Amino acid sequence: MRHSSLLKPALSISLLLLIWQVLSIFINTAVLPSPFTVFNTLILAIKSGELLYHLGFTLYRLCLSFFIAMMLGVSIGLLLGRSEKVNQFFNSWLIIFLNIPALVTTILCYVWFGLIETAAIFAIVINKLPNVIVTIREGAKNIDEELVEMATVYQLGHLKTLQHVILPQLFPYIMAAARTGLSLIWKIVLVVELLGRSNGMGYQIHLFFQLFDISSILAYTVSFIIIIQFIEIAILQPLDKAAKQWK
Amino acid sequence: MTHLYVNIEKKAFTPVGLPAPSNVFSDFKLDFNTQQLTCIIGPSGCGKTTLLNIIAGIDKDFTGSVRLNDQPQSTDHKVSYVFQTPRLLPWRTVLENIQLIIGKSPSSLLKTQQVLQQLGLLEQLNSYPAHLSIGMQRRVSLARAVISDSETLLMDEPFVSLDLANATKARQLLLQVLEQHPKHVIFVTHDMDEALTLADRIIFLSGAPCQVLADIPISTERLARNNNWLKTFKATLKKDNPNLKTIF
Repeated sequence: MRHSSLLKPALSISLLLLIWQVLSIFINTAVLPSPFTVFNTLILAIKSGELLYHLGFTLYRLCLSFFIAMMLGVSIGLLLGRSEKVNQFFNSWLIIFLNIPALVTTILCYVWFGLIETAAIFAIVINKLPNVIVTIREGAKNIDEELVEMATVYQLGHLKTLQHVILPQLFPYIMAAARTGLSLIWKIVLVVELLGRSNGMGYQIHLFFQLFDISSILAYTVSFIIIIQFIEIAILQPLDKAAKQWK
Repeated sequence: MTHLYVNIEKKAFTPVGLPAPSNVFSDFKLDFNTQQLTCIIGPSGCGKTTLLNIIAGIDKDFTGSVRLNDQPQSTDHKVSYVFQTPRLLPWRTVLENIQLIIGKSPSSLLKTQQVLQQLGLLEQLNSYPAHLSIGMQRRVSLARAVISDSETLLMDEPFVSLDLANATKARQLLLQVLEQHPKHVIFVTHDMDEALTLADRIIFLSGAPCQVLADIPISTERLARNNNWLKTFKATLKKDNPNLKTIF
Protein backbone atom coordinates (compact mmCIF):
# COMPACT_ATOMS: atom_id res chain seq x y z
CA MET A 1 0.00 0.00 0.00
CA ARG A 2 2.62 2.49 1.06
CA HIS A 3 4.75 1.82 -1.98
CA SER A 4 1.95 2.29 -4.48
CA SER A 5 0.71 5.45 -2.72
CA LEU A 6 4.13 7.04 -3.21
CA LEU A 7 4.81 5.45 -6.57
CA LYS A 8 1.83 6.80 -8.45
CA PRO A 9 2.41 10.54 -7.82
CA ALA A 10 6.13 10.05 -8.52
CA LEU A 11 5.35 8.39 -11.84
CA SER A 12 2.88 11.06 -12.86
CA ILE A 13 5.31 13.89 -12.01
CA SER A 14 8.08 12.10 -13.95
CA LEU A 15 5.80 11.82 -16.97
CA LEU A 16 5.12 15.56 -16.81
CA LEU A 17 8.84 16.31 -16.62
CA LEU A 18 9.50 13.94 -19.51
CA ILE A 19 6.93 15.67 -21.73
CA TRP A 20 8.46 19.02 -20.81
CA GLN A 21 11.96 17.75 -21.61
CA VAL A 22 10.94 16.27 -24.98
CA LEU A 23 9.04 19.43 -25.91
CA SER A 24 11.96 21.70 -25.03
CA ILE A 25 14.37 19.56 -27.13
CA PHE A 26 11.89 19.40 -29.98
CA ILE A 27 11.05 23.11 -30.07
CA ASN A 28 14.58 24.19 -29.10
CA THR A 29 13.89 27.84 -28.24
CA ALA A 30 14.85 30.20 -25.43
CA VAL A 31 11.23 30.67 -24.34
CA LEU A 32 10.92 27.02 -23.23
CA PRO A 33 14.05 26.04 -21.29
CA SER A 34 14.48 22.37 -20.35
CA PRO A 35 13.76 21.12 -16.79
CA PHE A 36 17.52 20.84 -16.23
CA THR A 37 18.18 24.48 -17.10
CA VAL A 38 15.34 25.54 -14.80
CA PHE A 39 16.68 23.33 -12.01
CA ASN A 40 20.15 24.88 -12.37
CA THR A 41 18.68 28.38 -12.31
CA LEU A 42 16.73 27.43 -9.17
CA ILE A 43 19.89 26.21 -7.40
CA LEU A 44 21.78 29.37 -8.40
CA ALA A 45 18.92 31.60 -7.19
CA ILE A 46 18.80 29.77 -3.85
CA LYS A 47 22.60 30.00 -3.44
CA SER A 48 22.66 33.73 -4.16
CA GLY A 49 19.97 34.21 -1.49
CA GLU A 50 17.86 36.25 -3.86
CA LEU A 51 15.06 33.72 -4.16
CA LEU A 52 14.77 33.18 -0.42
CA TYR A 53 14.67 36.95 0.20
CA HIS A 54 11.78 37.51 -2.21
CA LEU A 55 10.01 34.27 -1.32
CA GLY A 56 10.24 35.29 2.33
CA PHE A 57 8.48 38.61 1.66
CA THR A 58 5.76 36.91 -0.35
CA LEU A 59 5.20 34.24 2.30
CA TYR A 60 5.04 36.91 5.00
CA ARG A 61 2.30 38.77 3.07
CA LEU A 62 0.56 35.50 2.33
CA CYS A 63 0.46 34.39 5.98
CA LEU A 64 -0.56 37.76 7.40
CA SER A 65 -3.38 38.38 4.92
CA PHE A 66 -4.48 34.73 5.13
CA PHE A 67 -4.95 34.87 8.90
CA ILE A 68 -6.66 38.27 8.85
CA ALA A 69 -9.02 37.14 6.09
CA MET A 70 -9.81 33.85 7.84
CA MET A 71 -10.48 35.45 11.25
CA LEU A 72 -12.70 38.18 9.78
CA GLY A 73 -14.36 35.78 7.33
CA VAL A 74 -15.26 33.19 9.97
CA SER A 75 -16.72 35.86 12.28
CA ILE A 76 -18.74 37.61 9.57
CA GLY A 77 -19.79 34.34 7.91
CA LEU A 78 -21.00 32.99 11.23
CA LEU A 79 -22.97 36.15 11.90
CA LEU A 80 -24.62 36.08 8.46
CA GLY A 81 -25.32 32.34 8.62
CA ARG A 82 -26.90 32.53 12.07
CA SER A 83 -29.06 35.59 11.49
CA GLU A 84 -31.35 35.57 8.48
CA LYS A 85 -32.16 39.30 8.87
CA VAL A 86 -28.52 40.41 8.83
CA ASN A 87 -27.89 38.04 5.93
CA GLN A 88 -30.72 39.46 3.84
CA PHE A 89 -29.49 43.00 4.46
CA PHE A 90 -25.83 42.39 3.61
CA ASN A 91 -26.22 39.76 0.89
CA SER A 92 -26.02 42.33 -1.91
CA TRP A 93 -22.80 43.79 -0.44
CA LEU A 94 -21.32 40.34 -0.54
CA ILE A 95 -22.24 39.81 -4.18
CA ILE A 96 -20.72 43.17 -5.11
CA PHE A 97 -17.44 42.43 -3.30
CA LEU A 98 -17.30 38.89 -4.72
CA ASN A 99 -17.36 40.28 -8.24
CA ILE A 100 -15.00 43.25 -8.08
CA PRO A 101 -11.85 42.23 -9.99
CA ALA A 102 -8.72 41.84 -7.89
CA LEU A 103 -6.92 44.32 -10.11
CA VAL A 104 -9.47 47.06 -9.35
CA THR A 105 -9.37 46.68 -5.56
CA THR A 106 -5.58 46.52 -5.62
CA ILE A 107 -5.20 49.71 -7.69
CA LEU A 108 -7.79 51.51 -5.54
CA CYS A 109 -6.01 50.48 -2.33
CA TYR A 110 -2.68 51.81 -3.65
CA VAL A 111 -4.31 55.05 -4.83
CA TRP A 112 -6.20 55.64 -1.59
CA PHE A 113 -3.59 54.50 0.95
CA GLY A 114 -0.35 54.97 -0.98
CA LEU A 115 2.26 52.42 -2.07
CA ILE A 116 2.71 51.02 1.43
CA GLU A 117 2.75 47.55 2.99
CA THR A 118 -0.60 48.06 4.77
CA ALA A 119 -2.29 48.88 1.47
CA ALA A 120 -0.89 45.69 -0.06
CA ILE A 121 -2.09 43.49 2.82
CA PHE A 122 -5.46 45.27 2.87
CA ALA A 123 -5.90 44.69 -0.87
CA ILE A 124 -5.22 40.95 -0.51
CA VAL A 125 -7.61 40.65 2.46
CA ILE A 126 -10.40 42.49 0.62
CA ASN A 127 -10.05 40.10 -2.31
CA LYS A 128 -10.03 36.96 -0.22
CA LEU A 129 -12.63 37.90 2.43
CA PRO A 130 -15.90 37.45 0.44
CA ASN A 131 -14.96 33.87 -0.47
CA VAL A 132 -14.37 32.93 3.14
CA ILE A 133 -17.62 34.59 4.21
CA VAL A 134 -19.68 32.71 1.62
CA THR A 135 -18.20 29.32 2.56
CA ILE A 136 -18.52 29.84 6.31
CA ARG A 137 -22.05 31.24 5.93
CA GLU A 138 -23.05 27.98 4.25
CA GLY A 139 -21.54 26.07 7.16
CA ALA A 140 -23.27 28.25 9.74
CA LYS A 141 -26.63 27.61 8.08
CA ASN A 142 -26.07 23.87 8.46
CA ILE A 143 -25.28 23.97 12.16
CA ASP A 144 -27.30 21.41 14.13
CA GLU A 145 -29.82 23.48 16.12
CA GLU A 146 -30.51 20.52 18.40
CA LEU A 147 -26.94 20.60 19.72
CA VAL A 148 -27.11 24.38 20.21
CA GLU A 149 -30.34 23.90 22.21
CA MET A 150 -28.56 21.30 24.32
CA ALA A 151 -25.81 23.83 25.03
CA THR A 152 -28.45 26.43 26.00
CA VAL A 153 -30.26 24.07 28.37
CA TYR A 154 -27.03 23.14 30.14
CA GLN A 155 -26.02 26.84 30.31
CA LEU A 156 -22.67 26.42 28.60
CA GLY A 157 -22.38 30.14 27.84
CA HIS A 158 -21.44 31.80 24.56
CA LEU A 159 -17.72 31.09 24.58
CA LYS A 160 -17.97 27.37 25.38
CA THR A 161 -20.83 26.93 22.93
CA LEU A 162 -18.74 28.56 20.21
CA GLN A 163 -15.65 26.56 21.05
CA HIS A 164 -17.14 23.12 21.62
CA VAL A 165 -20.45 23.07 19.74
CA ILE A 166 -20.26 25.50 16.81
CA LEU A 167 -16.62 25.56 15.67
CA PRO A 168 -16.26 21.75 15.44
CA GLN A 169 -19.26 21.73 13.10
CA LEU A 170 -17.74 24.56 11.04
CA PHE A 171 -14.36 22.84 10.79
CA PRO A 172 -14.88 21.19 7.35
CA TYR A 173 -16.02 24.55 5.97
CA ILE A 174 -13.04 26.35 7.53
CA MET A 175 -10.73 23.79 5.92
CA ALA A 176 -12.42 24.24 2.54
CA ALA A 177 -12.10 28.03 2.87
CA ALA A 178 -8.45 27.65 3.85
CA ARG A 179 -7.62 25.45 0.84
CA THR A 180 -9.34 27.55 -1.81
CA GLY A 181 -8.20 30.67 0.02
CA LEU A 182 -4.55 29.73 -0.04
CA SER A 183 -4.52 29.20 -3.80
CA LEU A 184 -6.49 32.41 -4.37
CA ILE A 185 -4.28 34.53 -2.11
CA TRP A 186 -1.17 33.14 -3.79
CA LYS A 187 -2.44 34.43 -7.14
CA ILE A 188 -3.51 37.80 -5.79
CA VAL A 189 -0.39 38.46 -3.75
CA LEU A 190 1.77 38.32 -6.91
CA VAL A 191 -0.46 40.89 -8.68
CA VAL A 192 -0.35 43.14 -5.63
CA GLU A 193 3.47 42.89 -5.49
CA LEU A 194 3.80 43.46 -9.22
CA LEU A 195 1.75 46.66 -9.03
CA GLY A 196 3.20 48.39 -6.01
CA ARG A 197 5.99 46.66 -4.10
CA SER A 198 9.74 46.56 -4.66
CA ASN A 199 10.24 43.03 -3.34
CA GLY A 200 8.50 39.67 -3.35
CA MET A 201 7.88 37.05 -6.02
CA GLY A 202 5.50 39.22 -8.03
CA TYR A 203 8.06 42.01 -8.26
CA GLN A 204 10.83 39.55 -9.32
CA ILE A 205 8.67 37.84 -11.95
CA HIS A 206 7.79 41.24 -13.40
CA LEU A 207 11.51 42.01 -13.57
CA PHE A 208 12.27 38.68 -15.30
CA PHE A 209 9.47 39.35 -17.75
CA GLN A 210 11.10 42.63 -18.75
CA LEU A 211 14.45 40.82 -19.12
CA PHE A 212 12.73 37.95 -20.93
CA ASP A 213 14.35 35.52 -18.46
CA ILE A 214 11.95 32.58 -18.81
CA SER A 215 14.05 30.04 -16.94
CA SER A 216 14.08 32.29 -13.85
CA ILE A 217 10.31 32.73 -14.05
CA LEU A 218 9.90 28.94 -14.17
CA ALA A 219 12.45 28.42 -11.37
CA TYR A 220 10.51 30.81 -9.09
CA THR A 221 7.27 29.07 -10.00
CA VAL A 222 8.74 25.66 -9.11
CA SER A 223 9.90 26.95 -5.72
CA PHE A 224 6.41 28.21 -5.14
CA ILE A 225 4.80 24.87 -6.05
CA ILE A 226 7.13 23.10 -3.61
CA ILE A 227 6.07 25.46 -0.80
CA ILE A 228 2.35 24.89 -1.48
CA GLN A 229 2.85 21.11 -1.50
CA PHE A 230 4.68 21.43 1.79
CA ILE A 231 1.82 23.42 3.35
CA GLU A 232 -0.70 20.84 2.12
CA ILE A 233 1.24 17.81 3.40
CA ALA A 234 2.73 19.23 6.60
CA ILE A 235 -0.15 21.43 7.83
CA LEU A 236 -3.51 20.88 6.13
CA GLN A 237 -3.55 17.08 5.86
CA PRO A 238 -2.54 16.45 9.52
CA LEU A 239 -5.26 18.95 10.58
CA ASP A 240 -7.81 17.03 8.51
CA LYS A 241 -6.71 13.78 10.05
CA ALA A 242 -6.86 15.09 13.61
CA ALA A 243 -10.37 16.41 13.09
CA LYS A 244 -11.66 13.11 11.72
CA GLN A 245 -10.39 11.09 14.68
CA TRP A 246 -13.89 10.62 16.12
CA LYS A 247 -15.48 9.31 12.91
CA MET B 1 -41.81 22.52 49.90
CA THR B 2 -40.67 23.94 46.58
CA HIS B 3 -42.99 24.47 43.67
CA LEU B 4 -42.38 25.24 40.02
CA TYR B 5 -45.12 27.42 38.57
CA VAL B 6 -45.72 27.41 34.84
CA ASN B 7 -48.06 30.06 33.53
CA ILE B 8 -48.47 30.32 29.76
CA GLU B 9 -50.87 33.11 28.88
CA LYS B 10 -50.35 32.62 25.19
CA LYS B 11 -48.20 30.50 22.92
CA ALA B 12 -49.02 30.57 19.22
CA PHE B 13 -47.58 28.45 16.48
CA THR B 14 -48.02 28.71 12.71
CA PRO B 15 -48.15 25.25 11.17
CA VAL B 16 -46.54 24.84 7.74
CA GLY B 17 -49.06 25.59 5.00
CA LEU B 18 -51.51 27.45 7.20
CA PRO B 19 -51.73 31.24 6.97
CA ALA B 20 -52.93 32.04 10.50
CA PRO B 21 -51.16 31.05 13.72
CA SER B 22 -53.09 28.72 16.00
CA ASN B 23 -52.91 28.77 19.78
CA VAL B 24 -51.05 25.88 21.32
CA PHE B 25 -51.53 27.22 24.83
CA SER B 26 -53.80 29.94 26.12
CA ASP B 27 -54.32 30.66 29.82
CA PHE B 28 -52.50 27.47 30.71
CA LYS B 29 -51.44 27.08 34.35
CA LEU B 30 -49.63 24.20 35.97
CA ASP B 31 -47.60 23.83 39.13
CA PHE B 32 -45.14 21.09 39.95
CA ASN B 33 -44.14 19.88 43.37
CA THR B 34 -40.38 19.58 43.02
CA GLN B 35 -40.20 16.54 45.33
CA GLN B 36 -42.15 14.47 42.83
CA LEU B 37 -41.86 12.64 39.55
CA THR B 38 -44.64 13.99 37.36
CA CYS B 39 -45.65 12.28 34.12
CA ILE B 40 -47.41 14.17 31.36
CA ILE B 41 -49.61 12.29 28.90
CA GLY B 42 -51.37 13.77 25.90
CA PRO B 43 -52.16 13.18 22.24
CA SER B 44 -49.28 13.76 19.83
CA GLY B 45 -48.96 17.35 18.66
CA CYS B 46 -50.75 18.74 21.72
CA GLY B 47 -47.70 20.70 22.85
CA LYS B 48 -45.95 18.41 25.33
CA THR B 49 -42.49 19.04 23.87
CA THR B 50 -43.29 22.76 23.59
CA LEU B 51 -44.18 22.77 27.28
CA LEU B 52 -40.83 21.16 28.16
CA ASN B 53 -38.95 23.57 25.87
CA ILE B 54 -40.63 26.51 27.61
CA ILE B 55 -39.68 25.15 31.04
CA ALA B 56 -36.13 24.50 29.78
CA GLY B 57 -35.83 28.09 28.54
CA ILE B 58 -35.15 27.08 24.93
CA ASP B 59 -38.50 28.38 23.72
CA LYS B 60 -38.78 32.03 24.73
CA ASP B 61 -41.43 32.97 22.20
CA PHE B 62 -44.45 32.97 24.53
CA THR B 63 -46.31 35.25 26.92
CA GLY B 64 -46.19 34.15 30.53
CA SER B 65 -43.66 32.96 33.06
CA VAL B 66 -41.90 29.99 34.60
CA ARG B 67 -41.16 30.63 38.26
CA LEU B 68 -39.68 28.74 41.16
CA ASN B 69 -41.79 29.25 44.36
CA ASP B 70 -43.39 32.67 44.59
CA GLN B 71 -40.48 34.69 43.34
CA PRO B 72 -41.75 37.72 41.46
CA GLN B 73 -39.56 37.22 38.38
CA SER B 74 -38.83 34.35 36.07
CA THR B 75 -35.88 32.59 37.63
CA ASP B 76 -32.95 31.00 35.98
CA HIS B 77 -33.36 27.67 37.71
CA LYS B 78 -31.03 24.95 36.52
CA VAL B 79 -32.51 22.38 34.21
CA SER B 80 -31.25 19.23 32.58
CA TYR B 81 -33.00 17.65 29.66
CA VAL B 82 -33.12 14.18 28.14
CA PHE B 83 -34.28 14.90 24.60
CA GLN B 84 -36.00 12.44 22.28
CA THR B 85 -32.66 12.06 20.48
CA PRO B 86 -29.45 11.73 22.57
CA ARG B 87 -27.90 15.02 21.35
CA LEU B 88 -24.33 14.09 22.25
CA LEU B 89 -21.43 15.94 20.66
CA PRO B 90 -20.01 13.37 18.19
CA TRP B 91 -16.46 14.79 18.39
CA ARG B 92 -16.22 14.26 22.16
CA THR B 93 -15.99 10.97 24.05
CA VAL B 94 -18.62 9.92 26.60
CA LEU B 95 -16.50 11.33 29.42
CA GLU B 96 -15.71 14.54 27.51
CA ASN B 97 -19.41 15.05 26.72
CA ILE B 98 -20.24 14.89 30.43
CA GLN B 99 -17.19 16.91 31.51
CA LEU B 100 -18.23 19.72 29.20
CA ILE B 101 -21.31 20.17 31.42
CA ILE B 102 -19.90 19.53 34.90
CA GLY B 103 -16.20 20.38 34.63
CA LYS B 104 -13.10 18.26 35.22
CA SER B 105 -12.75 18.19 39.02
CA PRO B 106 -11.85 14.82 40.66
CA SER B 107 -15.17 14.73 42.53
CA SER B 108 -17.16 15.17 39.32
CA LEU B 109 -15.10 12.40 37.69
CA LEU B 110 -15.99 10.10 40.59
CA LYS B 111 -19.67 10.96 40.28
CA THR B 112 -19.53 10.35 36.51
CA GLN B 113 -17.91 6.94 37.03
CA GLN B 114 -20.52 5.97 39.64
CA VAL B 115 -23.49 6.86 37.46
CA LEU B 116 -21.98 5.31 34.32
CA GLN B 117 -21.32 2.13 36.26
CA GLN B 118 -24.94 2.04 37.41
CA LEU B 119 -26.02 2.44 33.80
CA GLY B 120 -23.58 -0.23 32.61
CA LEU B 121 -21.47 2.20 30.60
CA LEU B 122 -18.19 2.34 32.51
CA GLU B 123 -16.30 0.51 29.75
CA GLN B 124 -17.52 3.06 27.22
CA LEU B 125 -16.08 5.99 29.19
CA ASN B 126 -13.60 6.88 26.44
CA SER B 127 -15.68 5.84 23.41
CA TYR B 128 -17.01 8.26 20.83
CA PRO B 129 -20.84 8.32 20.47
CA ALA B 130 -20.62 6.97 16.90
CA HIS B 131 -19.18 3.74 18.31
CA LEU B 132 -22.11 3.19 20.70
CA SER B 133 -25.52 1.68 20.00
CA ILE B 134 -28.48 4.05 20.08
CA GLY B 135 -29.60 2.53 23.39
CA MET B 136 -26.18 3.26 24.90
CA GLN B 137 -26.25 6.81 23.55
CA ARG B 138 -29.62 7.31 25.25
CA ARG B 139 -28.17 6.11 28.52
CA VAL B 140 -25.22 8.51 28.16
CA SER B 141 -27.73 11.30 27.57
CA LEU B 142 -29.55 10.21 30.75
CA ALA B 143 -26.26 10.05 32.66
CA ARG B 144 -25.35 13.58 31.53
CA ALA B 145 -28.74 14.88 32.67
CA VAL B 146 -28.57 13.14 36.05
CA ILE B 147 -24.96 14.12 36.81
CA SER B 148 -25.44 17.82 35.99
CA ASP B 149 -26.25 19.82 39.10
CA SER B 150 -29.76 20.72 37.93
CA GLU B 151 -32.86 21.10 40.06
CA THR B 152 -35.30 19.90 37.43
CA LEU B 153 -34.84 16.97 35.05
CA LEU B 154 -36.98 17.11 31.92
CA MET B 155 -37.50 13.93 29.93
CA ASP B 156 -39.17 13.88 26.53
CA GLU B 157 -40.28 10.33 25.65
CA PRO B 158 -36.75 9.12 26.41
CA PHE B 159 -37.51 5.39 25.95
CA VAL B 160 -39.79 5.68 22.94
CA SER B 161 -37.76 3.66 20.43
CA LEU B 162 -36.64 0.92 22.82
CA ASP B 163 -38.28 -2.51 22.75
CA LEU B 164 -40.38 -3.64 25.71
CA ALA B 165 -37.63 -5.46 27.62
CA ASN B 166 -35.08 -2.67 27.18
CA ALA B 167 -37.62 0.02 28.04
CA THR B 168 -38.50 -1.78 31.29
CA LYS B 169 -34.80 -2.06 32.10
CA ALA B 170 -34.24 1.61 31.27
CA ARG B 171 -37.09 2.65 33.57
CA GLN B 172 -35.64 0.59 36.42
CA LEU B 173 -32.25 2.18 35.84
CA LEU B 174 -33.83 5.63 35.87
CA LEU B 175 -35.48 4.95 39.24
CA GLN B 176 -32.24 3.53 40.66
CA VAL B 177 -30.19 6.49 39.52
CA LEU B 178 -32.78 8.94 40.84
CA GLU B 179 -32.67 7.21 44.22
CA GLN B 180 -28.95 8.05 44.46
CA HIS B 181 -29.26 11.50 42.89
CA PRO B 182 -32.76 12.83 43.70
CA LYS B 183 -34.17 15.41 41.30
CA HIS B 184 -37.45 16.97 40.39
CA VAL B 185 -38.57 15.09 37.25
CA ILE B 186 -41.06 16.04 34.57
CA PHE B 187 -41.50 13.08 32.27
CA VAL B 188 -43.42 13.30 28.99
CA THR B 189 -44.72 10.07 27.51
CA HIS B 190 -47.58 8.68 25.46
CA ASP B 191 -47.33 5.27 27.13
CA MET B 192 -49.91 4.90 29.90
CA ASP B 193 -48.20 1.88 31.49
CA GLU B 194 -44.89 3.71 31.57
CA ALA B 195 -46.50 6.68 33.31
CA LEU B 196 -48.29 4.46 35.82
CA THR B 197 -45.06 2.63 36.66
CA LEU B 198 -42.99 5.76 37.23
CA ALA B 199 -45.14 8.64 38.37
CA ASP B 200 -46.06 10.17 41.69
CA ARG B 201 -48.56 12.20 39.73
CA ILE B 202 -49.95 12.01 36.19
CA ILE B 203 -51.23 15.01 34.24
CA PHE B 204 -53.44 14.32 31.24
CA LEU B 205 -53.44 17.00 28.54
CA SER B 206 -55.99 17.63 25.79
CA GLY B 207 -55.32 18.39 22.12
CA ALA B 208 -54.71 22.00 21.02
CA PRO B 209 -55.38 24.42 22.59
CA CYS B 210 -53.79 22.44 25.36
CA GLN B 211 -55.71 22.10 28.65
CA VAL B 212 -55.34 19.89 31.70
CA LEU B 213 -57.95 17.10 31.42
CA ALA B 214 -57.11 15.34 34.66
CA ASP B 215 -54.52 15.54 37.40
CA ILE B 216 -54.10 12.18 39.14
CA PRO B 217 -51.85 11.62 42.17
CA ILE B 218 -50.56 8.07 42.69
CA SER B 219 -49.61 7.13 46.23
CA THR B 220 -49.04 3.39 45.78
CA GLU B 221 -45.45 2.28 46.36
CA ARG B 222 -43.66 1.76 43.04
CA LEU B 223 -42.69 -1.79 43.99
CA ALA B 224 -46.35 -2.68 44.55
CA ARG B 225 -47.38 -1.60 41.08
CA ASN B 226 -47.66 -5.02 39.44
CA ASN B 227 -49.76 -5.99 36.41
CA ASN B 228 -52.90 -6.53 38.45
CA TRP B 229 -52.57 -3.17 40.09
CA LEU B 230 -52.07 -1.54 36.67
CA LYS B 231 -55.28 -3.15 35.38
CA THR B 232 -57.42 -2.13 38.35
CA PHE B 233 -55.99 1.38 38.43
CA LYS B 234 -56.68 1.91 34.74
CA ALA B 235 -60.23 0.60 35.08
CA THR B 236 -61.00 2.97 37.97
CA LEU B 237 -59.35 5.83 36.11
CA LYS B 238 -61.53 5.17 33.06
CA LYS B 239 -64.70 5.03 35.16
CA ASP B 240 -63.95 8.16 37.20
CA ASN B 241 -62.79 10.29 34.25
CA PRO B 242 -65.03 9.84 31.22
CA ASN B 243 -63.33 12.83 29.55
CA LEU B 244 -60.15 10.76 29.18
CA LYS B 245 -61.66 8.46 26.58
CA THR B 246 -59.44 9.91 23.84
CA ILE B 247 -56.37 8.74 25.73
CA PHE B 248 -57.53 5.14 26.31
